[in-house]
Amino acid sequence: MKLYRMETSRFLSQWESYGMLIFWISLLLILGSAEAALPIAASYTNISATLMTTEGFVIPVLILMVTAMHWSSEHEAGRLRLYRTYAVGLPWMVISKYVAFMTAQTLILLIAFGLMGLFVRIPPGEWITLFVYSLLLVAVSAAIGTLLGAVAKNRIRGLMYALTVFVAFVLLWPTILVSTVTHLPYPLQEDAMIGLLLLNPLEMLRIGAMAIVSSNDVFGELYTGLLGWLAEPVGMLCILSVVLTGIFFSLLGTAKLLGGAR
Amino acid sequence: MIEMKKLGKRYDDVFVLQPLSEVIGKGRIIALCGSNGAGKSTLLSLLTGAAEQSEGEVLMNGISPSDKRRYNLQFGYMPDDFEFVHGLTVEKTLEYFAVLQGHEVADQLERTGLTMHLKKRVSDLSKGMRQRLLLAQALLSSPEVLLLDEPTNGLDPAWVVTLGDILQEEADEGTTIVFSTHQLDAAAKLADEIWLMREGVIKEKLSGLAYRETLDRLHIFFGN
Repeated sequence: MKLYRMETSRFLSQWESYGMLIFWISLLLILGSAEAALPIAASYTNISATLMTTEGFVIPVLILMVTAMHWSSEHEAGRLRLYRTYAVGLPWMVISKYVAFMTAQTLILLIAFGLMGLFVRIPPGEWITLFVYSLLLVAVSAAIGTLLGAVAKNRIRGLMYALTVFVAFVLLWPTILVSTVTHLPYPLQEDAMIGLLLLNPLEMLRIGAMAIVSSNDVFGELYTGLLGWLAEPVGMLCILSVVLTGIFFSLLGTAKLLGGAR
Repeated sequence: MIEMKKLGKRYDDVFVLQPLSEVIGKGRIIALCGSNGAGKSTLLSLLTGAAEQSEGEVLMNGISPSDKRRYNLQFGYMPDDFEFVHGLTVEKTLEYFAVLQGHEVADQLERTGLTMHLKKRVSDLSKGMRQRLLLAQALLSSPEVLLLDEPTNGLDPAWVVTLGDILQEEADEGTTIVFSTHQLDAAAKLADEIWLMREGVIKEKLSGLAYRETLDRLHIFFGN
């Protein structure tokens, strides 16, 4: 518990943790001023969808980089070698740091979402969806970033791995999926799409959140059946399971990688 | 007490530490001397359990590294190549180490001369001060064994003497100490026994000699 408290206060005192807040305020200022200057802009530009799309890109890249760099710098600085000789055990440390990071990010997100009310008008239901979406994105990205940082032995590699995962799993994933699935016979395409989606919690979250705020028009024909299903409780449960499984295996992999002797 | 039974380390077929069997008794101070790549740090890493041996086993007070928690509670370790978290003060850094080890910090500050520097950021410390901070974290749990990798690096001569006093006090209280060093003078002054290593093998052991004679033997070994 003491370790968790110390880690939380450490994360809260690092300026890197506030990257999300700075981004958020800048984005809200842009959207808020657009709405104030031209009220029709608010309905023309779907604010929730804009926020969601931007979050879907910015949160993963920021959090993947911050967490991967954090753990790879622990490697590079020789700190893990020392921590490995302590009684507390690195797996426990990984979990404490992860929970502390999530606590700090939850507080920062709450501030950011509190500020959102001052700048833009969004219905409470969408506010909650956006908040939960952001929080889950942070949770998955932090877990994957932690694993990448554990694999990387220095900061440059940590950064490279984070960017590679971001490009492949966030930026290009829909293209990768579609270009892969279209080679299959038509009756198999939708099932194959769902199967491949389950491999990527970040994409699963994006599609789920979009389905909830009814921005279905951003997706192509292949997603039609899936979106309806995802908006139902069973679909939500499925998304949550994929997210939690992703977090669990990422942290387990990190603990395994760091826990043993070299 | 540390027992090494045919303890060795190799990468593929190349031994970086040839299997060795040694026992280091309670309260003994052992210095590991040798050129770079002689196997000093490898031996220390095996003793800490951070590296896994390819051959044999090591026991600390009868406990094996496979019982990780109990094994790690036996010793304090001071690494050679270490970078502190930059933003933290000396006080916060020690608090963090103490939390990881489950101990208090107060009693080690005076001995390592850190009391006056608690509010300084570690990034503002000199190399010598950082070495003292590393030593303080190794001493935090009042361990029965101290494993120190190049503890004299960056210390001025006065602090090498103070380090010697601290190590001697610890040894008098029954702590077993193993340290590596390139400073032959420090090894000759501080250690009860010096292990001269080359290519992963202990080539010679020096003990029971006068300081001057020890130093001469060391210079002969290193070809100075």
